[in-house]
Amino acid sequence: MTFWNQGKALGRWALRAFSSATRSSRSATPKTVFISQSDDIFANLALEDWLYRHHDFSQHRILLLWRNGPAVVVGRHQNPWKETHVGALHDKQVVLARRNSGGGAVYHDQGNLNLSFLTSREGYNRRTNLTVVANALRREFGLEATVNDRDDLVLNGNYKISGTAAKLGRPNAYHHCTLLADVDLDNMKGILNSDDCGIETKATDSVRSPVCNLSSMHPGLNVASLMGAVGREFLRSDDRGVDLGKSAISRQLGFTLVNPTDDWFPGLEKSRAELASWGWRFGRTPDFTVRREFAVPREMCVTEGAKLQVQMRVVKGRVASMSVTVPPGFVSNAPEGEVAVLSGLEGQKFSEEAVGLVEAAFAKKDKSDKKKRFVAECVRRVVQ
Amino acid sequence: MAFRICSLAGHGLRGAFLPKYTQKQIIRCFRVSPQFLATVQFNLSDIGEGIKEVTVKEWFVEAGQKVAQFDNICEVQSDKASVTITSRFDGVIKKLHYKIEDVAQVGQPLVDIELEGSEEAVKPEESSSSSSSSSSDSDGELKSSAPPPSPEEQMPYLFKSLAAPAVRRVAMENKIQISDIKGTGKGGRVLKEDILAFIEAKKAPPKVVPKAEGDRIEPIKGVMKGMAKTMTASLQIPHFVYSDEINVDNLVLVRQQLKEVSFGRGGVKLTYMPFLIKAASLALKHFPVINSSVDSECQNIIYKADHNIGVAMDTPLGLVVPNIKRVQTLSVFDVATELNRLMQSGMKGSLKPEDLTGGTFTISNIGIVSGINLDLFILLVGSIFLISFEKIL
Repeated sequence: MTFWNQGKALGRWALRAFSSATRSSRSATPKTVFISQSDDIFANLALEDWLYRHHDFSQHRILLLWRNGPAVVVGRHQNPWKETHVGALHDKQVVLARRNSGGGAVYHDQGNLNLSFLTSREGYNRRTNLTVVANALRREFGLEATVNDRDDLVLNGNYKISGTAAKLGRPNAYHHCTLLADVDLDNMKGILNSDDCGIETKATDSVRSPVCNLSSMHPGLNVASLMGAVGREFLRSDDRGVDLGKSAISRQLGFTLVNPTDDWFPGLEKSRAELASWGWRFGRTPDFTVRREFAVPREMCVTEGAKLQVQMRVVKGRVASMSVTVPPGFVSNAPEGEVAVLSGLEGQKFSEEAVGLVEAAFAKKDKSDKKKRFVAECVRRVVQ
Repeated sequence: MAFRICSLAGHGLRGAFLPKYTQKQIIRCFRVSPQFLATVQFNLSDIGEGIKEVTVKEWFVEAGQKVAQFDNICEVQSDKASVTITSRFDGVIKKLHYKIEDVAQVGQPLVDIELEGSEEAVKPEESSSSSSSSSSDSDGELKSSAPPPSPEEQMPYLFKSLAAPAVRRVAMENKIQISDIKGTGKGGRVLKEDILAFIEAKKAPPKVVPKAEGDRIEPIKGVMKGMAKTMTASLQIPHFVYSDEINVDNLVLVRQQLKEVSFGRGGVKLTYMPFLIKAASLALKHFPVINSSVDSECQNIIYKADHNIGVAMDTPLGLVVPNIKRVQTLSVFDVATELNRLMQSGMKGSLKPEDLTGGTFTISNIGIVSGINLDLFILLVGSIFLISFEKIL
């Protein structure tokens, strides 16, 4: 190159190098990666919601990376009692949360990375986001992940490593997904049960698939390294998921550690409290009927193969009506057939509290203690 | 033991949050009957992703209820996406076409809305009194401020008087009456520039206004505001990153030996930082170009004489970067003393302005937030180098 050309090239390079970081190339909206410093599921959900409601994404995109302590997160229109043993969660120190987006139930723990891609409504594109994640896995860890037709990320065509859900509104939208980096899968399988619990509902069902951890395919992979890999890939991709090269990273707005508190995001605490409330987590359950049958022990009833049936109608998480159908011969001097347990139960939360009331209600009838306990036990198993 | 040098990023929040709403969304998929006070069938608009049908999961309105533009109508779900459908119009809901759990078709009517506002049916007292969460009070105001008749006026439900939806939304969220703003657009229309200038002129601090009532609004002020501004400016600067690991066994030993000595001399806490700060200063003697800055036009490089080394610290008020002046003249112990003083001031919120200005080189320690391997960072305007240290393993 001649001296003159060298000068021109240098000048052009200088112009590019000294360009403003906020001026984006035509198809790459300025992007930031936020990393939440909290591992409280409710605070993080509140943070995601805050950004969705208040931030202007017309010239900005955010990838929010977060993780939580053990939690079951059900979709907006799901029935938590159908997705897991709610009563058992407390002992296992797993919290139950309900998110704002649709889809099925997922299990989170510290080995799971959550990614939320927040954009304007027009910028929403699930496949693009998942492609970016797949590219990150390939580039940094050499893992082959593909996006299947259910918009799930699968590894080697078989194992699901991510679940996806989205929320669209005006003017913003978000798509979030999980990534199984190093999750306690045994715990997860035990908690996300699919036992028949007798619930009839139109709530969204979860669709189950075989899963595996990314760390099983790439030892040493953990949430921290995953955060860096996905964040970098996000920053170097354009709005259609096309890689713009490593230099693109420095033209973006970088990584930021965020703290989901009121100081940083005014109004967040209120949102967090709402998400953690019983009313949101359980009260939002679509109305359902639960019906379970229990074999009556031989000594309690003359009839062979007798069954006791408990049926409840649950509206907004509270018992709207309940009936217990006792087999003939079960109760010595009360009418057989359906026994409507009175209004004392109505309005009670669908939980252990209802059982106590059944026990109290049955105390009036002339029954042996064992039978009372048996009925109460049946009700207990229904509410769990 | 090894010691990893890496880099750190920080970025304050932006000030004003202005939602955008594209006007083209208004005129799509609806049929307008020729007479005014029409009942319009509001169709379920295209959700995207080739979706043809969705399940209605929740209604936020019922027949007979008043709605305003942008109010939530219902929530629908398509496989994994939960979509909030908002109203395009102001009016009264006449009919819901689906029950909960019904499957709604894209492009088919979702609700019937009786539109509010026509030439003869102007009821200013009614529209301004129903203004709890809607923009209809701005409608009432607009009608009373006699503009010249235009197509917009004759078909209010198409153009909604003298401001585009995006502008009206901004007005609504900032609790500004559109009629208070002088419109510079065609026919006296209030444009986005007008409303932004109006907000500026009011000199309201850039506030985040949450949608719900009863939320606490706190403007970003004080230290955080300063930091937000500084950091935003910093991101204008092009960046270069280098990352390395260094064996610091000797440093660990020396510090162990000197910890008690330092504590004996006036209770000064000796961490690794004073050593790193002094080491940085010694390095700067060999490479003075690193202790320099570039002026705003990138015309000159200013070689600074003093090594005023800044240390990033987390305080109750946020991230601050006070600096230790003239490290080249100080001993390690002096640096430790000064660092202690700055940290205590920082925790109390009593750092002086001179502590915070004049830094030429910055050190940041993210050993506390270890485990994250980041490639990005931020520079303070006025310096060109930042070094940050991760955990000592």
